[in-house]
This record gives sequence, C-alpha cells and structure tokens, in this order.
Amino acid sequence: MNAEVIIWAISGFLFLAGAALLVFRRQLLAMILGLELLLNAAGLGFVYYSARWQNAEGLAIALLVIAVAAAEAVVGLGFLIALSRDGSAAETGDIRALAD
Amino acid sequence: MAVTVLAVSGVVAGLLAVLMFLQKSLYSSAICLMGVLLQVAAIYLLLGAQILAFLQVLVYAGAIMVLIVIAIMAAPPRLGSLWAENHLPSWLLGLIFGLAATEACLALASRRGGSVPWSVVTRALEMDMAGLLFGRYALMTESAGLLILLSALALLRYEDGPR
Repeated sequence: MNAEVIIWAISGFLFLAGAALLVFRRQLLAMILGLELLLNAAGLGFVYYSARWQNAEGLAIALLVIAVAAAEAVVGLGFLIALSRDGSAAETGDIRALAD
Repeated sequence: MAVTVLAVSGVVAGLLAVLMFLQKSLYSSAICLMGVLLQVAAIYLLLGAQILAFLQVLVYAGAIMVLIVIAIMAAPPRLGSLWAENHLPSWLLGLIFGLAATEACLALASRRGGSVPWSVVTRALEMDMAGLLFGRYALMTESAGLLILLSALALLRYEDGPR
C-alpha cells in the first residue's frame, strides 16, 4: 500500500466522521467538533499534495485553513455560550431566535 | 517502516474519530478530537511539514481545544435527549493507547532508518510558503487575522449587550 492511498483513506474517513457528527448529532458543540474534523481532513490532503508536487500553495492554504478554523471556533463557541445563557440552546432544535 | 507508521497513525485517527461520533459525553468527544488533531500533527511531521505540525499542535490541539472545553463547561447540562448511549470501554482505550505507543516506537525506529519513501515538504518549500503568505496571498493572510480579531471583538460587544 502506498502513501497516497493511506492519506486518501485517512482524509476521507475523517471527512466522513466529521460529516456524520454534523448531520446526526443534535448538540451544537458536537457539530462544531465535527466542523473541526472536516477542516482537518481537507488540510491533510492539501499538505500531502503540496509535498508531492513540490508546490507551496497547498501549504499556504493549509495554514489559512488553520487560521479560519480558529476564527470559526471563536465565533461558534462564543455564539453558543451567548445563546445558552438562558439554558435553552444546547441542541439545534431549541434555537428559535432567527425563526420567530 | 515509514508507511507502517503512517498507516498506524491513520488507524488511530480513524478509531478516535469513530469514538468521537459515538460518545454521549461532550468531554469524551473533545478528548477524542484532541487525539485526532495530534495524530494529524504526527502525519504532518511524517510528511515533513514541521511548521504546520507545530501550528496544528499550538492552535488546534492547544487554543481551540481550550476554547471547546471552556464552552462545554459553560454550556447547560442538557444531555438527556441524545440518541448515543455508548461509553468508552476500557479495552478500546487500551487498544488506542497501545497503537499510539507502537506508532511512536515505529516512528523513532524509522527516523533512525533514514528517508521516507514519499515526497516530503522541504525547507525550500516552506520558504516558498512564507513568500506566498506575505506576497501573493498577503490579503488573505491579513483577512484571516482580521477575522479572528473581529470575532473576538464581536464577542466582547455581545458581552455588553446584544441589542
């Protein structure tokens, strides 16, 4: 088995696990964890092909993905804490602020 | 040898990702996510991307995990309506730690053995990356930094009052 197959397998599996967390779990925090997993799976592919083709753009994009993931975590978790102040927004079905 | 290390780290990352999905407790899910992030950092190291591996540990497994744990602590304890009822079995934990230890031993052995059988990120490539980030992608780099700053400021603003 060569490295490319292994990287594809890891990346694909992590992406699937992240998508499953995002779709099947009801807790908002678990969904944010799934998003982090999705971003990591994408970054892995960028780094592998950057090394393989000796092209630095993949590395730069992977670095930007890490920065965007940090910003997303700050916004998502802060939003979640703000929403859960009244104890009503731990799960997706509880949030009605934008629907009402 | 290096391919085996890569495969073992992939298996550990996959196992932890599955456990992360199955756990009822958010703390357990967060710990599993940290394991996945550290495994990805190990894969980055195997691919030769040392700066990215360092940032992965520092930003993902460090800063973001701290944020997540604080958010879990601050969130209300309403976990009763989840469908998942599984708990982490001790034999599985042992298996994961055993695999991670095997991976570390194999990594040390392969490091003594010499080069890896795939293309790695070279020092010149990392220099090119820095050139891109502060050259052609400078606007994107600044935007990412600005996004983090604005998100932190928005939270502070929300602390004063959302309306």
